[in-house]
Amino acid sequence: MQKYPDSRYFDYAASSPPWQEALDEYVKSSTIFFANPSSQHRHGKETKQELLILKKEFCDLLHFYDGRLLLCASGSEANNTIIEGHMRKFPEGKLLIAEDVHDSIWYATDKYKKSVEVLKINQNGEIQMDDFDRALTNDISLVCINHVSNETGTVHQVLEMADICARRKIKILIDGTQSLGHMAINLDTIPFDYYSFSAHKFGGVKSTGGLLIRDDLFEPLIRGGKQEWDLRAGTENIAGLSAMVVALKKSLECVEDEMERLKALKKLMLKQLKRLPNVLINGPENGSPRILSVSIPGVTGRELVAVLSHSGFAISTGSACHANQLAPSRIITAMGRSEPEAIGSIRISMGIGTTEDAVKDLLKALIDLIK
Amino acid sequence: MEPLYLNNPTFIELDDAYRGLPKFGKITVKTSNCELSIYDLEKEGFVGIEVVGFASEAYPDFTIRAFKGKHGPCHFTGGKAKYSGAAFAALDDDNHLLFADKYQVVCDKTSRIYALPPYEDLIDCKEISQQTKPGNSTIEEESGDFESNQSFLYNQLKDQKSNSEGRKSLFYPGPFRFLILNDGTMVRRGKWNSIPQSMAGDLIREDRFIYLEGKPEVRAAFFQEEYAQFGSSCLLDDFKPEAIDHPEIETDFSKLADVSDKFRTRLLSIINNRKKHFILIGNDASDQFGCCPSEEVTDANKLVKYGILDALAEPVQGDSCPVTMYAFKDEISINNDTLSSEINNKFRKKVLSHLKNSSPSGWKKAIKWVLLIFIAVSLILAAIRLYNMQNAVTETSMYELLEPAGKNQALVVLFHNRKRCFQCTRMENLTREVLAKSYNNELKNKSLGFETIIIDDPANFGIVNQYGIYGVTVVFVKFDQEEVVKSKVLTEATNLYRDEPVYKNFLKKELHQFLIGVDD
Repeated sequence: MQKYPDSRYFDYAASSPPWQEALDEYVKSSTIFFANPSSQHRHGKETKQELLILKKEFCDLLHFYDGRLLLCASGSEANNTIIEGHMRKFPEGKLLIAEDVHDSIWYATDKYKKSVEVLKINQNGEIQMDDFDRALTNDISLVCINHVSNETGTVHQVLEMADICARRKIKILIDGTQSLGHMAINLDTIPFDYYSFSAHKFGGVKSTGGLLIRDDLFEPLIRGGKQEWDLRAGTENIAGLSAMVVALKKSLECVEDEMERLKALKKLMLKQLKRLPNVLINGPENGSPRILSVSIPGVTGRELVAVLSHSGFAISTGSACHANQLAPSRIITAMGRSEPEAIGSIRISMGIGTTEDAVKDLLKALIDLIK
Repeated sequence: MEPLYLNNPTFIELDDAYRGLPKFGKITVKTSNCELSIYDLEKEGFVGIEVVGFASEAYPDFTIRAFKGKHGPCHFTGGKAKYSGAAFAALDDDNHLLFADKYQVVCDKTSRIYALPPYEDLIDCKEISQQTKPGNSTIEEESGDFESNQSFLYNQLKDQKSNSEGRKSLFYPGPFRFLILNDGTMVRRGKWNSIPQSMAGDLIREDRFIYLEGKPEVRAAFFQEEYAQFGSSCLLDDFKPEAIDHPEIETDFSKLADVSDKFRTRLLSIINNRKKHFILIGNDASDQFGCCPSEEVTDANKLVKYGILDALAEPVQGDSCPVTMYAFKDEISINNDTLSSEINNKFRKKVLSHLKNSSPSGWKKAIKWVLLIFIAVSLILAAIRLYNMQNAVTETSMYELLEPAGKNQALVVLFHNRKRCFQCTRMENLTREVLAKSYNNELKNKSLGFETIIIDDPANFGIVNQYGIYGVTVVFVKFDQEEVVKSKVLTEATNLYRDEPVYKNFLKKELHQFLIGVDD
């Protein structure tokens, strides 16, 4: 296992350090398969074959046998591709969007105001199946949910929700950015239509991500080329894909051990934090062991992040993507927290380089600050 | 997304095409190498592969049609199928060996595949509700696994004499991977095969065989000979297994005592008949991602782990069931893609001795009987308790566990295991749909509710035992002032969940009767 010099990094949900093997593969693939896969010469054809082999390898690792991998430059692009592509293909369509989705999906609640229904989350950040049933009216054409919440770590019942959607012939997009590579998943058993992800979250290189798709019923977001079965123009990032395959392989090799290890570390943190007055735990305790969200009313998350950063700790306030916004986290607010509680929320996310000593140090620093 | 034609595709291009096809989507391949393309299509997981355009001087390419079809879980909903062409038996692309005149149980996925055009007129399918006429000896309602079906086939054909005289070359276009003729002749799809002249007419007429003048004679292969030599791997002509890595450990013969009676019998048969190896199709039951769980595979893998068996497996493509070859330790190996095997009499003798010692005899038999009696008594007591509960139960702990919204609330409770499976998820969804549709007002005014209880949570063991719950089950309970005054365990629900309308109607009817106080 590779060593990470900085065990005080607690922002794995924002980005994980790349696997060394993935970086090596990136360089190797860039060198060998530099040709354009759309070219008709031998070099191009060889690169095209490599592209297909890597895609198959990636899908097989996830037990995904009856659909394709559509390469994108990020999880956000993947989500946008489906939202925009669906609305362009079905202008009369209606979206059902869960309250805890990433902004790359949530933006649709503003852009397509009249065509969006919001799916509520409860105080634990969970989607109640009763609420889901009620919200899934006949005019809904696309459901958008997280597999794992990027802010609270809540693991949603995606199998159940996808099953209902499949039987009612309603499309479903699952954002797997915080789940893929972080838990053992058999995608063959989840009847989703689209599953988005980002590779740098599991140790791939930046600007690689994608969509696992079971149909092509959406208009392309990027036009101007026949690549990716006419669904996304632009030369395929084959080196990024090769690094992504290695990163996924490496992540899945240790995923079960890691889950157990991180579960113990999260338990340790919860035990200590619960003893403190005024500290609120956001999300269920049985959520993703990687992610812990807490609210400390009276201080702002930004202050905590800044002060802890001086001590060498990297945590984030709510979702890292909100880091430049002063407004309270909409997800924490949706869970019923007050504005001061939402503003005082921080996210601690762990990964392969997190050690027990570092967790204890962080807890000590955090407790000192709160006191 | 559906590519209509691919021209001389590579394997990976076929994989890409397969992934892009919708369920049961069709692909047409033009190829100059018929055998290779068929092999690639088989490996990728296509079904119903059939040569629909034959190469000629004017048009040198073959045209092959195939369908996407193996993906998805298997559910047994009572469908049966039999081969109805002119041969004796047929092997499909998912290793189902079908016989003429013998219906076999098939899963819903396989039934759907058999409804595809290539199988039209070649397979008879029927539902379980269609009663068979008593005394009709041609219809046997049984199904065996890959090994036992081959064993049955061998017993049927072993006395047939293989005769290479009076034959002609016919091309078999498919859609079956293999056909076995009445004399044992093995016919391979996409190849010229040596066929007895007496059967040629029927095969051309019923199974779409092709005859062309001037084709050279080819060697005939006979199932009874191949099976006697290679066992059930003879129908896996493209079986290219790889050794499964396992750490070198000392053999622990004591683990032979843990295997099931069925597997014990299999091992004894292997030793007594001096078979070199055996093949099992399916997943280890402990594999959470496996779609075809097999207790025998589980037993076999356990013995591999304890150094008694060795295993060779073929990498699984798509949703195909894993095919694994097992043999006693160090008896099989692969060198340069060639399988070699040698029986180790000394090792087998030890296995035999442990199998015999671990057989249920003498005092062990006595213990077995005591245990059986104990289980029987327990079951009777459980049944009595269940009967009492269903009539008028007064129970308080259920109230504490479920904390119903109202003191007089009725609850529909789904008991499920911590590890959610397709069955319990489907039952939960269907139950919720029934409640939302038919009992919306009751849900709103909280006179009715839905709850779940985890069966394997130690905290719930008391309730689980009290209600005699053994698996995923729906239970109705009615409270009056914090006490359960009435309950009903819907054991039948477990068998109906695959059929959505049937399940929903059943649940609706039962719940209606429960709520208005009508007992069966």
